[in-house]
Amino acid sequence: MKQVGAKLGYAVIIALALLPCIYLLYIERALFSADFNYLMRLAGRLSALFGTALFALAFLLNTRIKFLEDLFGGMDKMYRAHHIFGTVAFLSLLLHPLFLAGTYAALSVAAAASFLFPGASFVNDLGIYGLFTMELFLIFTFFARTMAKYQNWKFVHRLLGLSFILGSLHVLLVSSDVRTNAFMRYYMVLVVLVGLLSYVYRTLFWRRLVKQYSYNVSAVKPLGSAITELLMSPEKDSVSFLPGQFIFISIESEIANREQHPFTISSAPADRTLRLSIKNLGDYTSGIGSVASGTKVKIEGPYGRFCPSYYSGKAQLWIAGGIGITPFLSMVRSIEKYPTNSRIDLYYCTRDTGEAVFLPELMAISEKNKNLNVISFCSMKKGRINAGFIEASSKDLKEKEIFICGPATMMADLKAQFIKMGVSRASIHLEEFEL
Amino acid sequence: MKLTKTIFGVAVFVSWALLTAIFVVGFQSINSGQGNTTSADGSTISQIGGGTVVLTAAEVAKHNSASSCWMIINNKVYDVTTYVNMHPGGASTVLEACGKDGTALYDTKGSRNRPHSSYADSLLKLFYVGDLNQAIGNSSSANNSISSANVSLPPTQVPPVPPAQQPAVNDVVLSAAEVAAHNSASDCWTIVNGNVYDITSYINMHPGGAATILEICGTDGTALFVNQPHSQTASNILDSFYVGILNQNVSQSALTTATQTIANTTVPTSGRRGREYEDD
Repeated sequence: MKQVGAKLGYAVIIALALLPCIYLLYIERALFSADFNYLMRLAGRLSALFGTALFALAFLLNTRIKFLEDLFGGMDKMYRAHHIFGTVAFLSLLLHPLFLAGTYAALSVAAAASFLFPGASFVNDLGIYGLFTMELFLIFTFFARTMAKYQNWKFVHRLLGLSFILGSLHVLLVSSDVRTNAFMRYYMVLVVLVGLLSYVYRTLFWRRLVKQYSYNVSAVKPLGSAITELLMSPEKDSVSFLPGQFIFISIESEIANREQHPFTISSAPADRTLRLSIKNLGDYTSGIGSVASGTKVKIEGPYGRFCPSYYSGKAQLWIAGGIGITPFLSMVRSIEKYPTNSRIDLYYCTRDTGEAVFLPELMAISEKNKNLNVISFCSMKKGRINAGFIEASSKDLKEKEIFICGPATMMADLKAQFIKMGVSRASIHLEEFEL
Repeated sequence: MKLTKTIFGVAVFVSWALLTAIFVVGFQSINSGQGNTTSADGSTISQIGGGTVVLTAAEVAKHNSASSCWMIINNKVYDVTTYVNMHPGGASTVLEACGKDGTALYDTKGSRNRPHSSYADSLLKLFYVGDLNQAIGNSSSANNSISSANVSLPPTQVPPVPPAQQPAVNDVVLSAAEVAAHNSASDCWTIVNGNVYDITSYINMHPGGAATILEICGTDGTALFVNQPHSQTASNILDSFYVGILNQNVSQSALTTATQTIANTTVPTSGRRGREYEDD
């Protein structure tokens, strides 16, 4: 298995959404005119086709289908694409009525206002309500993330499916090219079906259909002041994963609300006990400390392509910021059993030495493996880590595969600095999980 | 993700600012009666001359130029003069059908062999004159649009009618009897809440169907209008067809131009309209 960059996935989705637009331009080629009304109307039609297709495909990216994960180079990047495409779809759909109102505005502003206001025709109202609810749910998605309970937030986010259904009905019923042109009709029906099936599958059948592993909590240990370690043993089958991958867990206890949350695995694949090292960041993560031993846990996965083992022959540079050490813990713990032949430099960046709770264990493993170098870096003493410092101590960055996991700004800064030094984008791997 | 959030926030804000502006300006102009309904080419329609015009194919054939373009589509006659230059498919494709039966061209878009959109259908309704071979009352010259309050045009194109030039002798009293004289699809007045409206041009645009609106032509439609659940938009639209208050004197010649011009310039009525009057 070879890791593919997210580029291919983006290209495929954008091409699928652009196809009906290009086809429309093709069948309209004889009619092009510089007339204001014509151009506004054309722009309105294009934005509707592009936005609808993209909206539908955003649902597909939320299905956690493994084959799509390969296309995007990891579930984290697929979710990122889901966010981006969803937002772009909304922006495109938002332009649609405004462009069309432009054609009415040539008659009068009053005509444009009547057109934009619901009540003129049922089919148009479907579109207006679809877009309006989409806007409401997205405002909630973007701005209520920290205020609302996760469960409620997720519920509202899922309501976007209803906006999609309203919008799709509008697209298919309104008299337009989608109704008059056979290819356009079949294509848009197909795209809408993909979106609808993805949504129905994800909301109604997901829990029953997806493969889940049953585990029991064997221990919950606080580690330092801010980290909790959750150890779990399998009831029967155990998850088989590569170091660097993550799983979704749902803890069957009142404390954890049975919510599904993603965590990177910090144990080695060969360990019988599955270990998660969780930083206490919110209600849920703080609540994990009080989960009792023996509690049942459902595990789904593994996902992610943040795996150095795809490049086992090459020298590696691993950079961890704070709790971003977890994927590297899994990697180092497997090196303990299966020593590596390629040189690995692990930079463990924390604010101070107190926060570097995994340092003693990492150092101990490093001492037994001469190919593994662990470098501790404290930002309180030396400031933020930068590519210059890493270049000075590790050398030959262009020859290495670089894996970075940490705060978003740290990853973005380092990536930019490495690229400036001439490191190719394809050699820089980021763990970008933000659900 | 921060960037996406920012872009989203800005887009939502800008779109609502724009929407609010369109709604405020648009609905204000509906309320004040501006920017809606005036005769197709801004010309005066003389109803005084009496006489009727029968919308025969021969009559339609007289209007075969860009300056007066009528056409027959599905046995209905439309005056599309003002739309010729706004046609997305170009003026030439409309001009082909001026003075003729354009049904085939309209249904197929010529060689492209696909029908016009429902948006086009709704625009076409704005230019409806009457059915083929129908006699249209109170119309005279061939060069004018028969349907009076017919096409929405930007307010700037509404020809102002200076009240001083209107001779007072031609005053018409908006009595129930006068309203009753306008009781057909081609000339439909009605009374709602003591106001007189000329809703001729709206008959075919009525979401509830033309039939329900025809019932109130020439009569008091208050009960029917009020008893049906009508939206605020409906009230706004109705306002735009305002002619005057029941039993009010209205100058005949002003009446025969766009109804809206009357509402704005010659008839000082309620305070709201009165202000508009002063503005003019």
